[in-house]
Amino acid sequence: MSSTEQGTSSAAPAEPTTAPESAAAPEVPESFYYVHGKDKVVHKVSAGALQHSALIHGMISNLGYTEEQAKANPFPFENIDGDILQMVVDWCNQHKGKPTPPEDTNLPKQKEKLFDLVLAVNYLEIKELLTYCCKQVAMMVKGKSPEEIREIWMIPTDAEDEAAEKEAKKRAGKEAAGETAAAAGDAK
Amino acid sequence: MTNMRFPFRRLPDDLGLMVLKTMEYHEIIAYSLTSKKALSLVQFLGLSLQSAQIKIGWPSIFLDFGDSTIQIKWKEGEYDEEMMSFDDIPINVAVTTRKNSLTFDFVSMEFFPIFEIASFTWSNKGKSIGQWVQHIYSIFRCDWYEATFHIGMIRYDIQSLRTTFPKLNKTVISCFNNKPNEHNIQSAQVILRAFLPYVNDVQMFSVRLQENVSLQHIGMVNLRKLEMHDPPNLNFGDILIWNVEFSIVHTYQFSMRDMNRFFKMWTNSSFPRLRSFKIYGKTIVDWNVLLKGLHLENERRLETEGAERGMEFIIQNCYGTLAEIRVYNDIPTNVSVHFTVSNSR
Repeated sequence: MSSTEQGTSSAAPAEPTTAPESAAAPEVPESFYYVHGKDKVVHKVSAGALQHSALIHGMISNLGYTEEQAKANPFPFENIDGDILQMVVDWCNQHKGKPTPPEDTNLPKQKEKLFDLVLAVNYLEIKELLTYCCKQVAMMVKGKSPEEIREIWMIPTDAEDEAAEKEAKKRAGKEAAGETAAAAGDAK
Repeated sequence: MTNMRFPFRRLPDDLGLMVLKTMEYHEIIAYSLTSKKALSLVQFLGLSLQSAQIKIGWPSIFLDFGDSTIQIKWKEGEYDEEMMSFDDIPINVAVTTRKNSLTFDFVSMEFFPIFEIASFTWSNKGKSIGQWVQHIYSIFRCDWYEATFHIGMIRYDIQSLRTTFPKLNKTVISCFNNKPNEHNIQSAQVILRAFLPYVNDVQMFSVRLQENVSLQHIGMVNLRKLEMHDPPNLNFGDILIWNVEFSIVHTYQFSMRDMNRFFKMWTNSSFPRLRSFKIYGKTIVDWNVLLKGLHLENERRLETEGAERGMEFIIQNCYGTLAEIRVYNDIPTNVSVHFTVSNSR
Protein backbone atom coordinates (compact mmCIF):
# COMPACT_ATOMS: atom_id res chain seq x y z
CA MET A 1 0.00 0.00 0.00
CA SER A 2 1.45 3.32 -1.01
CA SER A 3 0.50 5.45 1.89
CA THR A 4 1.24 9.15 2.11
CA GLU A 5 0.56 10.41 5.56
CA GLN A 6 -1.15 13.76 5.51
CA GLY A 7 -1.18 15.83 8.61
CA THR A 8 -4.18 18.00 9.23
CA SER A 9 -2.41 20.87 10.86
CA SER A 10 -3.11 23.19 7.94
CA ALA A 11 -6.85 22.79 8.34
CA ALA A 12 -6.99 22.90 12.11
CA PRO A 13 -4.54 22.39 14.92
CA ALA A 14 -4.18 18.67 15.50
CA GLU A 15 -3.40 19.19 19.15
CA PRO A 16 -6.03 21.22 20.97
CA THR A 17 -4.77 24.11 23.07
CA THR A 18 -4.99 23.47 26.76
CA ALA A 19 -8.22 24.55 28.28
CA PRO A 20 -7.86 26.58 31.49
CA GLU A 21 -10.38 24.49 33.39
CA SER A 22 -8.33 21.35 32.83
CA ALA A 23 -5.27 22.85 34.47
CA ALA A 24 -5.77 20.84 37.62
CA ALA A 25 -6.64 17.58 35.90
CA PRO A 26 -3.92 15.63 34.14
CA GLU A 27 -4.09 16.23 30.41
CA VAL A 28 -5.12 13.20 28.43
CA PRO A 29 -3.16 13.00 25.17
CA GLU A 30 -5.43 13.08 22.14
CA SER A 31 -5.56 9.88 20.19
CA PHE A 32 -5.35 9.79 16.42
CA TYR A 33 -6.71 7.40 13.86
CA TYR A 34 -5.99 6.93 10.20
CA VAL A 35 -8.37 6.62 7.29
CA HIS A 36 -7.87 6.19 3.59
CA GLY A 37 -10.11 6.34 0.55
CA LYS A 38 -10.01 4.86 -2.92
CA ASP A 39 -6.68 6.54 -3.66
CA LYS A 40 -5.05 4.89 -0.62
CA VAL A 41 -3.80 8.23 0.67
CA VAL A 42 -3.87 7.99 4.45
CA HIS A 43 -5.31 10.87 6.48
CA LYS A 44 -4.49 11.31 10.14
CA VAL A 45 -7.54 12.42 12.07
CA SER A 46 -8.03 13.00 15.77
CA ALA A 47 -10.61 10.99 17.65
CA GLY A 48 -12.37 14.26 18.50
CA ALA A 49 -12.81 15.14 14.84
CA LEU A 50 -13.93 11.62 14.00
CA GLN A 51 -16.72 11.87 16.55
CA HIS A 52 -18.75 13.66 13.87
CA SER A 53 -18.98 10.39 11.98
CA ALA A 54 -21.32 8.01 13.73
CA LEU A 55 -19.96 5.16 11.61
CA ILE A 56 -16.28 5.69 12.49
CA HIS A 57 -17.07 6.63 16.07
CA GLY A 58 -18.90 3.32 16.43
CA MET A 59 -15.95 1.47 14.91
CA ILE A 60 -13.30 3.02 17.12
CA SER A 61 -15.19 3.32 20.38
CA ASN A 62 -14.29 -0.18 21.52
CA LEU A 63 -11.01 -0.70 19.73
CA GLY A 64 -8.59 0.74 22.28
CA TYR A 65 -5.83 0.99 19.66
CA THR A 66 -2.48 2.36 20.53
CA GLU A 67 -1.04 5.03 18.23
CA GLU A 68 1.10 2.39 16.50
CA GLN A 69 -1.78 -0.02 16.07
CA ALA A 70 -4.00 2.74 14.67
CA LYS A 71 -1.28 3.80 12.25
CA ALA A 72 -0.76 0.24 11.12
CA ASN A 73 -4.48 -0.31 10.56
CA PRO A 74 -6.02 2.69 8.75
CA PHE A 75 -9.76 2.46 8.18
CA PRO A 76 -10.30 1.71 4.52
CA PHE A 77 -13.14 3.48 2.71
CA GLU A 78 -12.65 2.07 -0.74
CA ASN A 79 -15.97 3.45 -1.94
CA ILE A 80 -14.98 7.08 -1.26
CA ASP A 81 -12.74 9.07 -3.58
CA GLY A 82 -9.57 10.42 -1.98
CA ASP A 83 -10.39 14.07 -2.61
CA ILE A 84 -13.88 13.61 -1.19
CA LEU A 85 -12.49 11.95 1.91
CA GLN A 86 -10.04 14.84 2.22
CA MET A 87 -12.98 17.30 2.19
CA VAL A 88 -14.78 15.30 4.84
CA VAL A 89 -11.68 15.07 7.03
CA ASP A 90 -11.09 18.81 6.67
CA TRP A 91 -14.67 19.56 7.68
CA CYS A 92 -14.44 17.23 10.68
CA ASN A 93 -11.24 18.91 11.79
CA GLN A 94 -12.70 22.39 11.39
CA HIS A 95 -15.72 21.44 13.48
CA LYS A 96 -13.91 19.39 16.08
CA GLY A 97 -15.42 19.99 19.48
CA LYS A 98 -17.46 22.96 18.28
CA PRO A 99 -21.20 23.34 18.05
CA THR A 100 -22.15 23.35 14.39
CA PRO A 101 -23.53 26.71 13.26
CA PRO A 102 -26.94 26.91 11.54
CA GLU A 103 -25.31 28.16 8.32
CA ASP A 104 -22.01 26.55 7.54
CA THR A 105 -19.61 28.62 5.46
CA ASN A 106 -16.94 25.93 5.55
CA LEU A 107 -18.74 23.63 3.17
CA PRO A 108 -16.70 22.34 0.28
CA LYS A 109 -17.05 24.78 -2.59
CA GLN A 110 -16.58 22.36 -5.47
CA LYS A 111 -20.19 21.76 -6.38
CA GLU A 112 -19.32 19.29 -9.11
CA LYS A 113 -18.23 16.97 -6.29
CA LEU A 114 -21.44 17.51 -4.32
CA PHE A 115 -23.05 14.26 -5.41
CA ASP A 116 -20.09 12.13 -4.29
CA LEU A 117 -19.81 14.18 -1.13
CA VAL A 118 -23.47 13.60 -0.23
CA LEU A 119 -23.08 9.85 -0.69
CA ALA A 120 -19.82 9.76 1.29
CA VAL A 121 -21.22 11.83 4.13
CA ASN A 122 -24.33 9.68 4.22
CA TYR A 123 -22.18 6.53 4.33
CA LEU A 124 -20.00 7.94 7.10
CA GLU A 125 -23.13 9.08 8.95
CA ILE A 126 -22.06 12.67 9.57
CA LYS A 127 -25.45 14.10 10.37
CA GLU A 128 -24.69 17.83 10.47
CA LEU A 129 -22.62 17.79 7.28
CA LEU A 130 -25.31 15.74 5.55
CA THR A 131 -27.90 18.37 6.49
CA TYR A 132 -25.70 21.12 5.06
CA CYS A 133 -25.06 19.11 1.89
CA CYS A 134 -28.80 18.53 1.41
CA LYS A 135 -29.37 22.26 1.80
CA GLN A 136 -26.71 22.89 -0.83
CA VAL A 137 -28.49 20.54 -3.22
CA ALA A 138 -31.80 22.26 -2.51
CA MET A 139 -30.23 25.71 -3.02
CA MET A 140 -29.34 24.73 -6.59
CA VAL A 141 -33.04 24.87 -7.52
CA LYS A 142 -34.12 27.74 -5.29
CA GLY A 143 -36.86 29.74 -7.01
CA LYS A 144 -36.58 27.69 -10.21
CA SER A 145 -39.42 26.59 -12.48
CA PRO A 146 -40.17 22.89 -13.08
CA GLU A 147 -38.28 23.00 -16.42
CA GLU A 148 -35.23 24.57 -14.79
CA ILE A 149 -35.35 22.02 -11.97
CA ARG A 150 -35.52 19.22 -14.55
CA GLU A 151 -32.41 20.61 -16.25
CA ILE A 152 -30.37 21.31 -13.12
CA TRP A 153 -31.21 18.06 -11.36
CA MET A 154 -31.03 16.05 -14.60
CA ILE A 155 -34.51 14.61 -14.17
CA PRO A 156 -35.65 12.35 -17.01
CA THR A 157 -39.09 12.87 -18.51
CA ASP A 158 -41.78 10.20 -17.99
CA ALA A 159 -41.14 8.97 -21.55
CA GLU A 160 -37.42 8.63 -20.82
CA ASP A 161 -38.19 6.84 -17.57
CA GLU A 162 -40.47 4.40 -19.37
CA ALA A 163 -37.88 3.79 -22.10
CA ALA A 164 -35.18 3.20 -19.47
CA GLU A 165 -37.43 0.76 -17.60
CA LYS A 166 -38.15 -1.15 -20.81
CA GLU A 167 -34.44 -1.26 -21.59
CA ALA A 168 -33.65 -2.49 -18.08
CA LYS A 169 -36.30 -5.21 -18.36
CA LYS A 170 -34.95 -6.26 -21.74
CA ARG A 171 -31.40 -6.38 -20.36
CA ALA A 172 -32.54 -8.37 -17.33
CA GLY A 173 -34.35 -10.81 -19.63
CA LYS A 174 -31.25 -11.25 -21.78
CA GLU A 175 -29.04 -11.78 -18.73
CA ALA A 176 -31.48 -14.35 -17.36
CA ALA A 177 -31.52 -16.12 -20.74
CA GLY A 178 -27.70 -16.04 -20.82
CA GLU A 179 -27.49 -17.52 -17.34
CA THR A 180 -29.95 -20.26 -18.29
CA ALA A 181 -27.91 -21.05 -21.40
CA ALA A 182 -24.68 -21.11 -19.39
CA ALA A 183 -26.26 -23.37 -16.79
CA ALA A 184 -27.47 -25.69 -19.56
CA GLY A 185 -23.94 -25.69 -21.06
CA ASP A 186 -22.46 -26.56 -17.65
CA ALA A 187 -24.97 -29.38 -17.24
CA LYS A 188 -23.88 -30.86 -20.59
CA MET B 1 -29.35 29.71 -15.51
CA THR B 2 -26.45 28.06 -13.77
CA ASN B 3 -24.43 25.48 -15.69
CA MET B 4 -24.28 23.36 -12.57
CA ARG B 5 -25.91 19.94 -12.84
CA PHE B 6 -26.72 17.46 -10.13
CA PRO B 7 -27.98 13.90 -10.75
CA PHE B 8 -30.71 14.14 -8.14
CA ARG B 9 -32.46 10.95 -9.18
CA ARG B 10 -29.31 8.94 -8.56
CA LEU B 11 -29.56 9.78 -4.87
CA PRO B 12 -31.14 7.08 -2.69
CA ASP B 13 -34.77 7.96 -1.89
CA ASP B 14 -34.06 8.73 1.77
CA LEU B 15 -31.46 11.32 0.75
CA GLY B 16 -33.80 12.71 -1.91
CA LEU B 17 -36.44 13.15 0.79
CA MET B 18 -33.91 14.87 3.06
CA VAL B 19 -33.20 17.37 0.30
CA LEU B 20 -36.90 17.96 -0.38
CA LYS B 21 -37.54 18.56 3.32
CA THR B 22 -35.17 21.55 3.23
CA MET B 23 -37.03 23.13 0.30
CA GLU B 24 -39.86 25.64 0.22
CA TYR B 25 -43.37 24.43 -0.57
CA HIS B 26 -43.57 26.01 -4.02
CA GLU B 27 -40.22 24.47 -4.94
CA ILE B 28 -41.49 21.07 -3.85
CA ILE B 29 -44.59 21.57 -6.01
CA ALA B 30 -42.36 22.59 -8.92
CA TYR B 31 -40.24 19.47 -8.45
CA SER B 32 -43.36 17.27 -8.28
CA LEU B 33 -44.31 18.52 -11.75
CA THR B 34 -41.13 17.26 -13.38
CA SER B 35 -42.13 13.57 -13.61
CA LYS B 36 -44.36 10.86 -12.17
CA LYS B 37 -41.47 9.49 -10.11
CA ALA B 38 -40.80 12.95 -8.73
CA LEU B 39 -44.46 13.24 -7.76
CA SER B 40 -44.42 9.90 -5.95
CA LEU B 41 -41.32 10.97 -3.97
CA VAL B 42 -43.08 14.20 -2.99
CA GLN B 43 -46.21 12.26 -2.00
CA PHE B 44 -44.01 10.19 0.30
CA LEU B 45 -43.22 13.37 2.26
CA GLY B 46 -46.87 13.52 3.41
CA LEU B 47 -46.88 17.33 3.56
CA SER B 48 -49.52 18.97 5.74
CA LEU B 49 -51.61 21.87 4.59
CA GLN B 50 -54.00 23.89 6.75
CA SER B 51 -56.44 24.80 4.02
CA ALA B 52 -56.82 24.92 0.26
CA GLN B 53 -59.20 27.29 -1.51
CA ILE B 54 -59.81 26.55 -5.15
CA LYS B 55 -61.60 28.93 -7.50
CA ILE B 56 -63.19 27.69 -10.69
CA GLY B 57 -64.09 30.14 -13.41
CA TRP B 58 -60.94 32.21 -13.44
CA PRO B 59 -59.08 29.35 -11.89
CA SER B 60 -56.69 29.64 -8.99
CA ILE B 61 -55.78 27.82 -5.82
CA PHE B 62 -54.73 29.33 -2.52
CA LEU B 63 -52.75 27.10 -0.20
CA ASP B 64 -52.39 28.12 3.43
CA PHE B 65 -49.58 26.50 5.40
CA GLY B 66 -49.97 28.70 8.48
CA ASP B 67 -46.70 30.61 8.36
CA SER B 68 -46.70 30.84 4.58
CA THR B 69 -49.12 30.81 1.67
CA ILE B 70 -48.97 30.02 -2.02
CA GLN B 71 -51.35 31.25 -4.69
CA ILE B 72 -51.31 29.45 -8.01
CA LYS B 73 -53.23 31.20 -10.75
CA TRP B 74 -53.76 29.48 -14.07
CA LYS B 75 -53.93 31.84 -17.02
CA GLU B 76 -56.46 30.61 -19.57
CA GLY B 77 -55.44 32.75 -22.52
CA GLU B 78 -53.70 35.93 -23.47
CA TYR B 79 -56.56 37.99 -22.06
CA ASP B 80 -57.14 35.76 -19.03
CA GLU B 81 -60.44 34.40 -20.32
CA GLU B 82 -62.97 32.45 -18.27
CA MET B 83 -62.43 28.70 -18.30
CA MET B 84 -64.89 26.54 -20.22
CA SER B 85 -64.22 23.12 -18.71
CA PHE B 86 -61.88 21.21 -16.42
CA ASP B 87 -60.11 19.94 -19.57
CA ASP B 88 -58.92 23.45 -20.46
CA ILE B 89 -55.14 23.68 -20.62
CA PRO B 90 -53.82 26.95 -19.21
CA ILE B 91 -51.08 28.74 -21.11
CA ASN B 92 -49.02 29.47 -18.02
CA VAL B 93 -49.07 29.43 -14.25
CA ALA B 94 -48.46 32.42 -12.00
CA VAL B 95 -47.19 31.46 -8.56
CA THR B 96 -47.09 33.93 -5.69
CA THR B 97 -45.62 32.99 -2.35
CA ARG B 98 -45.91 34.87 0.90
CA LYS B 99 -44.01 34.14 4.07
CA ASN B 100 -45.23 35.61 7.33
CA SER B 101 -42.96 36.18 10.25
CA LEU B 102 -42.54 38.46 13.23
CA THR B 103 -39.83 40.98 13.81
CA PHE B 104 -39.07 42.67 17.11
CA ASP B 105 -38.84 46.44 17.18
CA PHE B 106 -36.48 47.46 19.97
CA VAL B 107 -37.75 51.06 19.98
CA SER B 108 -41.40 50.25 20.65
CA MET B 109 -40.51 46.90 22.25
CA GLU B 110 -43.22 45.20 20.22
CA PHE B 111 -43.39 42.45 17.66
CA PHE B 112 -44.46 43.42 14.14
CA PRO B 113 -45.55 41.10 11.36
CA ILE B 114 -43.43 41.15 8.22
CA PHE B 115 -44.28 39.61 4.88
CA GLU B 116 -41.95 38.34 2.22
CA ILE B 117 -43.64 38.07 -1.18
CA ALA B 118 -42.18 36.46 -4.30
CA SER B 119 -43.69 35.79 -7.72
CA PHE B 120 -42.80 33.24 -10.37
CA THR B 121 -44.22 32.28 -13.75
CA TRP B 122 -44.11 28.65 -14.82
CA SER B 123 -44.98 27.39 -18.25
CA ASN B 124 -47.66 24.72 -18.37
CA LYS B 125 -46.75 21.45 -20.07
CA GLY B 126 -50.13 20.16 -21.18
CA LYS B 127 -51.72 19.78 -17.75
CA SER B 128 -55.43 20.62 -17.65
CA ILE B 129 -57.11 22.56 -14.83
CA GLY B 130 -58.68 19.33 -13.55
CA GLN B 131 -55.32 17.56 -13.57
CA TRP B 132 -53.72 20.49 -11.76
CA VAL B 133 -56.30 20.39 -8.97
CA GLN B 134 -55.92 16.61 -8.63
CA HIS B 135 -52.13 17.01 -8.59
CA ILE B 136 -52.31 19.44 -5.66
CA TYR B 137 -54.80 17.16 -3.87
CA SER B 138 -52.39 14.23 -4.26
CA ILE B 139 -49.45 16.04 -2.63
CA PHE B 140 -50.93 17.39 0.57
CA ARG B 141 -52.74 16.09 3.60
CA CYS B 142 -55.23 18.86 4.12
CA ASP B 143 -57.99 19.30 6.69
CA TRP B 144 -59.98 21.90 4.80
CA TYR B 145 -60.70 22.00 1.08
CA GLU B 146 -62.93 24.79 -0.14
CA ALA B 147 -64.01 25.37 -3.73
CA THR B 148 -65.67 28.41 -5.25
CA PHE B 149 -67.56 27.74 -8.47
CA HIS B 150 -68.31 30.69 -10.65
CA ILE B 151 -71.51 30.20 -12.59
CA GLY B 152 -70.88 31.46 -16.07
CA MET B 153 -69.82 29.86 -19.34
CA ILE B 154 -68.33 26.71 -17.84
CA ARG B 155 -70.25 23.43 -18.21
CA TYR B 156 -70.25 21.32 -15.07
CA ASP B 157 -71.08 17.64 -14.76
CA ILE B 158 -71.38 15.64 -11.58
CA GLN B 159 -68.83 12.98 -12.49
CA SER B 160 -66.00 15.35 -13.39
CA LEU B 161 -66.77 17.50 -10.34
CA ARG B 162 -66.51 14.53 -8.00
CA THR B 163 -63.38 13.23 -9.74
CA THR B 164 -61.65 16.60 -9.63
CA PHE B 165 -62.64 17.30 -6.03
CA PRO B 166 -62.52 13.96 -4.22
CA LYS B 167 -62.70 15.76 -0.87
CA LEU B 168 -64.45 19.04 -0.22
CA ASN B 169 -65.46 20.71 3.04
CA LYS B 170 -67.01 23.88 1.72
CA THR B 171 -68.71 24.75 -1.56
CA VAL B 172 -69.21 28.32 -2.64
CA ILE B 173 -71.40 29.02 -5.67
CA SER B 174 -71.45 32.50 -7.07
CA CYS B 175 -73.65 33.78 -9.85
CA PHE B 176 -73.27 37.44 -10.71
CA ASN B 177 -75.62 37.30 -13.65
CA ASN B 178 -78.61 39.50 -12.77
CA LYS B 179 -80.87 37.45 -15.01
CA PRO B 180 -79.59 33.89 -14.71
CA ASN B 181 -80.31 31.81 -17.79
CA GLU B 182 -81.25 28.15 -17.88
CA HIS B 183 -77.58 27.13 -18.18
CA ASN B 184 -76.71 29.12 -15.01
CA ILE B 185 -79.57 27.53 -13.06
CA GLN B 186 -78.62 24.05 -14.27
CA SER B 187 -74.95 24.62 -13.37
CA ALA B 188 -75.85 25.50 -9.77
CA GLN B 189 -78.10 22.42 -9.56
CA VAL B 190 -75.29 20.16 -10.84
CA ILE B 191 -72.78 21.53 -8.34
CA LEU B 192 -75.20 21.18 -5.44
CA ARG B 193 -76.16 17.65 -6.45
CA ALA B 194 -72.49 16.70 -6.74
CA PHE B 195 -71.41 17.98 -3.35
CA LEU B 196 -74.38 18.39 -1.00
CA PRO B 197 -74.03 14.85 0.38
CA TYR B 198 -70.34 15.44 1.27
CA VAL B 199 -69.73 19.05 2.26
CA ASN B 200 -70.01 20.69 5.67
CA ASP B 201 -70.55 24.24 4.55
CA VAL B 202 -72.41 25.82 1.63
CA GLN B 203 -72.26 29.45 0.65
CA MET B 204 -74.27 30.86 -2.26
CA PHE B 205 -74.24 34.25 -3.94
CA SER B 206 -77.32 35.20 -6.00
CA VAL B 207 -78.01 31.59 -6.90
CA ARG B 208 -81.46 30.94 -8.35
CA LEU B 209 -82.73 27.51 -7.42
CA GLN B 210 -85.41 25.27 -8.84
CA GLU B 211 -87.79 22.78 -7.30
CA ASN B 212 -85.61 19.67 -7.67
CA VAL B 213 -82.83 21.22 -5.55
CA SER B 214 -84.53 23.97 -3.61
CA LEU B 215 -83.62 25.97 -0.51
CA GLN B 216 -85.68 23.49 1.50
CA HIS B 217 -83.58 20.59 0.20
CA ILE B 218 -80.31 22.35 0.93
CA GLY B 219 -81.38 23.40 4.41
CA MET B 220 -82.59 19.94 5.32
CA VAL B 221 -79.21 18.33 4.59
CA ASN B 222 -77.16 18.08 7.78
CA LEU B 223 -74.93 21.01 6.93
CA ARG B 224 -72.76 22.70 9.51
CA LYS B 225 -73.08 26.13 7.95
CA LEU B 226 -75.32 27.58 5.27
CA GLU B 227 -74.79 31.10 4.04
CA MET B 228 -77.02 32.74 1.44
CA HIS B 229 -76.37 36.09 -0.20
CA ASP B 230 -79.22 37.72 -2.13
CA PRO B 231 -81.20 34.58 -2.88
CA PRO B 232 -83.49 35.63 -5.75
CA ASN B 233 -86.49 33.56 -4.68
CA LEU B 234 -86.24 33.31 -0.90
CA ASN B 235 -89.33 32.09 0.89
CA PHE B 236 -88.95 32.50 4.66
CA GLY B 237 -91.00 29.34 5.12
CA ASP B 238 -88.02 27.42 3.66
CA ILE B 239 -85.77 28.68 6.44
CA LEU B 240 -88.20 27.38 9.05
CA ILE B 241 -87.42 23.78 8.09
CA TRP B 242 -83.63 24.13 7.87
CA ASN B 243 -81.52 21.78 9.92
CA VAL B 244 -78.16 23.54 10.10
CA GLU B 245 -75.91 24.64 12.97
CA PHE B 246 -74.98 28.06 11.63
CA SER B 247 -76.89 30.01 9.05
CA ILE B 248 -76.46 33.47 7.62
CA VAL B 249 -78.91 35.07 5.21
CA HIS B 250 -78.31 38.34 3.40
CA THR B 251 -81.62 39.14 1.73
CA TYR B 252 -83.48 42.05 0.24
CA GLN B 253 -86.37 41.99 2.67
CA PHE B 254 -87.63 40.09 5.65
CA SER B 255 -90.46 40.73 8.08
CA MET B 256 -90.66 41.03 11.84
CA ARG B 257 -93.62 38.65 11.73
CA ASP B 258 -91.43 35.93 10.17
CA MET B 259 -88.72 36.46 12.78
CA ASN B 260 -91.30 36.28 15.56
CA ARG B 261 -92.51 32.96 14.09
CA PHE B 262 -88.94 31.71 13.95
CA PHE B 263 -88.29 32.56 17.63
CA LYS B 264 -91.56 30.98 18.75
CA MET B 265 -90.73 27.80 16.87
CA TRP B 266 -87.32 27.68 18.56
CA THR B 267 -88.87 28.14 22.02
CA ASN B 268 -91.15 25.21 21.16
CA SER B 269 -88.12 22.93 20.47
CA SER B 270 -87.67 23.41 16.71
CA PHE B 271 -84.17 23.69 15.17
CA PRO B 272 -82.43 21.40 17.69
CA ARG B 273 -79.05 21.66 15.91
CA LEU B 274 -79.14 25.43 15.51
CA ARG B 275 -76.32 27.37 17.19
CA SER B 276 -76.56 30.66 15.38
CA PHE B 277 -78.79 32.39 12.83
CA LYS B 278 -78.09 35.81 11.38
CA ILE B 279 -80.24 37.65 8.92
CA TYR B 280 -79.48 40.95 7.19
CA GLY B 281 -81.91 42.93 5.04
CA LYS B 282 -84.41 45.72 4.75
CA THR B 283 -87.34 45.90 7.13
CA ILE B 284 -89.04 48.18 9.58
CA VAL B 285 -88.39 47.22 13.17
CA ASP B 286 -91.60 46.80 15.09
CA TRP B 287 -90.78 45.57 18.57
CA ASN B 288 -94.40 44.67 19.30
CA VAL B 289 -94.56 42.33 16.31
CA LEU B 290 -91.07 40.90 16.83
CA LEU B 291 -91.57 40.06 20.49
CA LYS B 292 -95.24 39.18 20.43
CA GLY B 293 -95.97 36.13 22.60
CA LEU B 294 -92.32 35.65 23.63
CA HIS B 295 -91.45 35.35 27.29
CA LEU B 296 -88.33 37.48 27.67
CA GLU B 297 -85.79 36.51 30.31
CA ASN B 298 -83.87 39.73 29.96
CA GLU B 299 -83.86 42.87 27.86
CA ARG B 300 -81.34 45.67 27.47
CA ARG B 301 -80.28 48.35 25.05
CA LEU B 302 -77.03 47.55 23.22
CA GLU B 303 -74.18 49.84 24.11
CA THR B 304 -71.48 48.55 21.80
CA GLU B 305 -70.00 50.86 19.20
CA GLY B 306 -72.21 51.19 16.12
CA ALA B 307 -75.22 49.63 17.85
CA GLU B 308 -76.87 52.72 19.26
CA ARG B 309 -80.30 51.67 18.01
CA GLY B 310 -79.81 48.01 18.90
CA MET B 311 -81.52 45.88 21.48
CA GLU B 312 -80.67 42.59 23.08
CA PHE B 313 -83.11 40.04 24.46
CA ILE B 314 -82.71 36.68 26.12
CA ILE B 315 -85.29 33.97 25.53
CA GLN B 316 -85.54 30.41 26.77
CA ASN B 317 -86.89 27.32 25.03
CA CYS B 318 -88.92 24.48 26.51
CA TYR B 319 -85.69 22.59 27.41
CA GLY B 320 -84.39 25.53 29.42
CA THR B 321 -81.76 26.48 26.83
CA LEU B 322 -81.13 30.20 26.61
CA ALA B 323 -80.66 32.19 23.44
CA GLU B 324 -79.68 35.75 22.77
CA ILE B 325 -81.44 37.91 20.18
CA ARG B 326 -79.61 41.02 19.05
CA VAL B 327 -81.28 43.47 16.73
CA TYR B 328 -79.14 46.10 15.00
CA ASN B 329 -80.90 48.97 13.28
CA ASP B 330 -78.34 51.75 12.87
CA ILE B 331 -79.20 52.69 9.30
CA PRO B 332 -82.97 53.19 8.95
CA THR B 333 -84.62 50.19 7.26
CA ASN B 334 -81.33 48.23 7.26
CA VAL B 335 -81.75 45.68 9.98
CA SER B 336 -79.82 42.68 11.12
CA VAL B 337 -81.02 40.14 13.63
CA HIS B 338 -78.49 37.86 15.31
CA PHE B 339 -79.82 34.84 17.14
CA THR B 340 -77.25 32.91 19.19
CA VAL B 341 -78.01 29.86 21.26
CA SER B 342 -76.17 29.82 24.55
CA ASN B 343 -74.35 26.75 25.81
CA SER B 344 -75.58 27.38 29.32
CA ARG B 345 -79.06 26.74 30.65
